[in-house]
Amino acid sequence: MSALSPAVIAAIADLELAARLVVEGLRTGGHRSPFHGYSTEFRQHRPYRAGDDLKYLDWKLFGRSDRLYTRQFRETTNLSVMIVLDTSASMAFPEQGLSKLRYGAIAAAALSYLVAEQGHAVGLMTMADKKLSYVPARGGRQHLRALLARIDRLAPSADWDAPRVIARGAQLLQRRGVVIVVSDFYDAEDETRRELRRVVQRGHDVAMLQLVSPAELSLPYDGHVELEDLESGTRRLVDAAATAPHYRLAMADFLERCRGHALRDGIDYAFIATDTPPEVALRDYLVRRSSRHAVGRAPRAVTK
Amino acid sequence: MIWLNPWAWAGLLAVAVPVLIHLLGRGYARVQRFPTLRFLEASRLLPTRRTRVHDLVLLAIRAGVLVAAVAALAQPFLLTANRRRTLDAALARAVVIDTSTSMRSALVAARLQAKRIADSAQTSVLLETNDPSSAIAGAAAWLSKQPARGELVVLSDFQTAALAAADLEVVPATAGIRLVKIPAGTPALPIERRVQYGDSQTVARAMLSAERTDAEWSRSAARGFRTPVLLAGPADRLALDAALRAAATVGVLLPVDTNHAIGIVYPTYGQRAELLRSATSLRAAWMADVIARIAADSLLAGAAGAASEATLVVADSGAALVVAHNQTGRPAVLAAQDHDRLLLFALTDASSLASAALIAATARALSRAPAATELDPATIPDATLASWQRAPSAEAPSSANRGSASDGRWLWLLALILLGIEWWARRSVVTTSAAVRPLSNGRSHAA
Repeated sequence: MSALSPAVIAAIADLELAARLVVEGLRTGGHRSPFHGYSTEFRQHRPYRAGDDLKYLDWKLFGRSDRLYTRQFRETTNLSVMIVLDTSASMAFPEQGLSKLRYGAIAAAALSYLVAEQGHAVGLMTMADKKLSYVPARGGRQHLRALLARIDRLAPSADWDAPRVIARGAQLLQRRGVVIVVSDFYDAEDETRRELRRVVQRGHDVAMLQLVSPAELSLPYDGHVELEDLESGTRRLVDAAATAPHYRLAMADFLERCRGHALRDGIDYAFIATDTPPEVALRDYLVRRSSRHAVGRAPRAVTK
Repeated sequence: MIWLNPWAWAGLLAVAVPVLIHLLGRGYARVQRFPTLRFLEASRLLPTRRTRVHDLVLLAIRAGVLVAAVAALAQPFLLTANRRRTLDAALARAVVIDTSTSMRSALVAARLQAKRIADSAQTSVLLETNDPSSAIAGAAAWLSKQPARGELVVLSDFQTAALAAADLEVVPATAGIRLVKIPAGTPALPIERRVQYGDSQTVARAMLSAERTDAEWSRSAARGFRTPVLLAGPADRLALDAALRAAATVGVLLPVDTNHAIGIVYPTYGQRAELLRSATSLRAAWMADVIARIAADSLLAGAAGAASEATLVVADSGAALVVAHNQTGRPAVLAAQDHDRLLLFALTDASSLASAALIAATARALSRAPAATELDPATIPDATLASWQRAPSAEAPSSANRGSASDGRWLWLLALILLGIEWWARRSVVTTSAAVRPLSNGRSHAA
């Protein structure tokens, strides 16, 4: 299976096309839709007919009444997915090639595409021009187009307020839904964590997609480098070779912390290095997610 | 403070080496935009500001080591009062006293001072001269032969023409020059010069003021002074008259010495042979003085040089001194002493130009008027004198003296101490940065 490399993805200017390609890449893996089954609500039983999927056969009823019934579902409750995309200045890295923001945009677009294609509602919460930028969660092709166009226009800005954006995004989901936060999680670590936990407590399904570029992991510079903070603009002169080992440890520490917190708070966590092809990264995330839900949620849905 | 080896200071260029290493070693940091610096803070590895200050201290210490070493190589010699006395004692001094006319009033004081200066040196020589500029060459030659450090001391009133910078060039470079100005008082004004031309006298007066110099001449008839006694045969009478008249056209500065007798003996004089035989060589100082002036007379030298071969060959001129030479280098004028008379034997014809020139030169040699330069009221400015002076070089002290004399060993010691400090400072930098490492993240190197 050939995955689209980040370099190829970066070269595709059209976000929708990129998202589509990523989603196609996901399909070739032959995985079941991870969102399948959420939005479906039990409606009625009807007598089993040959050719019905045995998966939907009500075995308990068979045990009680010795008759075969197929459970029927109705798509009354749409799943709402709110994608929160970080547009902070630190996302505009690396400055050459595929930046984290672009990678995040492609991932968000692919997810939106995937979700919308399955008839679910998808929305976007982010910040643009110092204001919250919001696209309500809705279904439909038209909506998806508008959403992708909005994602495409996003630019990094210095005033990113992660807790506020996440809280507002969760608030705007009308009912229980999925909140997917695509970010590097550099800003306001504690507040962000608190907010995510609050969202989880409110009953939403929360996922963290942590984007990190390889350069951030290794600090691959030589000699003396004056590093300029993308967010605050402060500069610091460092001896790269001497600093790198400590930096790597601190960075690994941070990532481990994020992962640990997510695990403890019941949040789906995915670490995505921006040099992995988006569909590979997304597939890994989705596979883990569906397996988790297969264990944790599917039975609940069946008992309904 | 004297530097025995001042060229070693060129070694200071070596200070540039650690500075260059410092500047190059620091490298040029390029600016790299980066998402966040928070993990850099956490790693506590900020080699920037603190070590930069530390680097400067290290740099200063290293430069200090080099400066101390270079200064030690330059062999400093601190001149304490005690050492100065020792050094002075090992000094050879040539003291030149100007005894020219203008110095007459201050000569006693000058001699006293000269003696004092000469006595403070290990070896010294006192030269009295009325022309210091020509005596300096001799003094310099004496100084260059001395094993000790030399110093030339000139005591004079330093009239403008007394000395020139070129005169001092002959002094050895290692010898010091000290010019002691003796205030001799200004000559009486107006400056008056009287010149005798045969039977007339010209008086020239110069009036000096700040802005200008006025000169006036007056001419009057005056009695002629006594010319030298001319001893010649009767045949030469007419020729001698002419020669006398020709000689009178050459002015003679007044006053003239009339106490001494001079005779000019011509070849036609009858007793010339006996005179020549009985004459002795010159003994009186005044005669030597006069002969020196005649010999230096350019008019006579020119005229005698142009004269043809003398017809008369002197048989016996053993005691006589040759005063002038003719064309072929043979004697033209001889000088000898006859009791208290000075006799000049002319070997040319009485009618020749050389004969007239000899009469004029003799008259002029008797003039006692001071040289024109001696009347000059202007003296060499003190600033100029100061610029000509120099201390005796420290090069010359004998080698036994010099080895222990240099204070360089203290500077070597200082350099060693600085090296120790540098080592300590360098080590402390390493240890502090090593101490920071485990603190930065509570674990050891995973990599």
